[in-house]
Amino acid sequence: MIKTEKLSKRYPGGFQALKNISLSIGSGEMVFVTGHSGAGKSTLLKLIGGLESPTSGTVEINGQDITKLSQSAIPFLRRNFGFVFQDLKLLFDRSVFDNVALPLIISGLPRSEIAKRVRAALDKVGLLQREKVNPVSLSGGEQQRLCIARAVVNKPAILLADEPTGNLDPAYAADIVAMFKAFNRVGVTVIIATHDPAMIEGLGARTISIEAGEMTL
Amino acid sequence: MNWFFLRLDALKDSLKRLLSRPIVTISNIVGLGISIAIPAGLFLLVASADNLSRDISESTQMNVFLDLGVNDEQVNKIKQRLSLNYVKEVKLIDRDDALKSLRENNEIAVVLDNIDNNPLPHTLVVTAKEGKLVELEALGREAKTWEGVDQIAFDSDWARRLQSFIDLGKVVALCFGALFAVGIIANTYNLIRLQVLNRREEIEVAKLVGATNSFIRRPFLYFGALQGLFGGLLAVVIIEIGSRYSVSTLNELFSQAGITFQRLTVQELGVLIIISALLGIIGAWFATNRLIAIYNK
Repeated sequence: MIKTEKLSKRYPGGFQALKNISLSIGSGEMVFVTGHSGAGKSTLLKLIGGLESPTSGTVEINGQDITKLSQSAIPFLRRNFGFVFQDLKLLFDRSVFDNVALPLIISGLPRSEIAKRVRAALDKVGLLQREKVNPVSLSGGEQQRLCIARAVVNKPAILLADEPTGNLDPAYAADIVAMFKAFNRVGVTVIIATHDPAMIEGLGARTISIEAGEMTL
Repeated sequence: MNWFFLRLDALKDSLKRLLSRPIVTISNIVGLGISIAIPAGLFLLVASADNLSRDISESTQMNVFLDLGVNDEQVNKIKQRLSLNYVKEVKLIDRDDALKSLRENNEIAVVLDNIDNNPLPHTLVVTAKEGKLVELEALGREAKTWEGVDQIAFDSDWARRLQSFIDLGKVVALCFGALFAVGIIANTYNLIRLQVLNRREEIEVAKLVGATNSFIRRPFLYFGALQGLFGGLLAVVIIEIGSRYSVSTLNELFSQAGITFQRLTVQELGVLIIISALLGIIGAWFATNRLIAIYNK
């Protein structure tokens, strides 16, 4: 259960990215956040995931206001989320396997457990055969899927994806959306930011529209 | 279990990084080892001399050299005057006995053969009771004016002079130690800072997926500690080899002076290694502290 109350974010320099966003997303829901580039979609996802802190307003996750969490509690909050970053943030100094293993290593899981979970995540996104290669040698769509595998490997309750189909051709994009749908079916709350109306079509999912930092619906 | 695996992973990561650039690692460790061995070795030398001079400077003995022409009666008289209640013992070293024992040294014997008369005076060795050095010194000053007494010599005199040199040496060794320690910290700081900068991307991603500051910092601290540990081990090897070859030579050289040079004990060597590792950790801590705060956003 995610609930925001009068959420605002003003960046240093005066840019008002979000204004008074109040919304509520039920657990197990799949929600799209749409709007033009620069409308504030990414900012909303970052605030929900605790990657940034708001200028004012609150973000409640399961009844807890995460904007009041101490710095030292933030890392543990982030482990409840799976992030699919717009710029992927893959590490090219290590294999596909090691990229996906990172969140589990951070959580301090034993090696054997890590291997099992990483392979399961890679299997879900269809990259099991590529675990040993460096992400550099993956195609754009494969890199995107790698990022998704890393996001879900921790079995997060909430998946936050920022433009996950940004630079992909429509066939690939449909693949990715189907993947998110599958995660949603097993109970994961999925929030996807996108500027691509084609992605939402026919899914019957709820849409939150943001224009110039304000909710329009 | 998590606690253990987190640390094991960090340790593996640090070891991997140490081994991945062997030349850099070896030169760093050699630098560390020498930086630690120099002040430690210096301190060892000073401490050896210190033990001796402390013994002597607290010794309550004086030598009363008599005039060459004194007769036995005069000697006995002086001996009696010296035998005060705080004096433990007055021992006469007869001039003939002194000459005899001197002759036992072959080189000096040659010289003595060319001298007709015994050049040595009778000597009275006066030992005061413990802690009566002040009284003994007063007695010495007085005895110097007596008839038949030529010179007074205190063991404690030259020992005190030696002691002040040793104290100076100690200060120098400590300064060296402090300077080298700062050097080691600064060196480690620079090295780790570069590593943190090189791994900026990794640190950022790790933080985004839930890494705590201590998780980020751990491999760097371990790296500093390991490097310091190996540096300390090398320092121990340097000191051990150095003292193995020099201690016997030095002891021979200074046996007349009664100085015995010691080797470091196992505990002292252990402390050296621990200090070295700690210096590495301190350097790494400073390096990671600032940079991780910067990456926090």
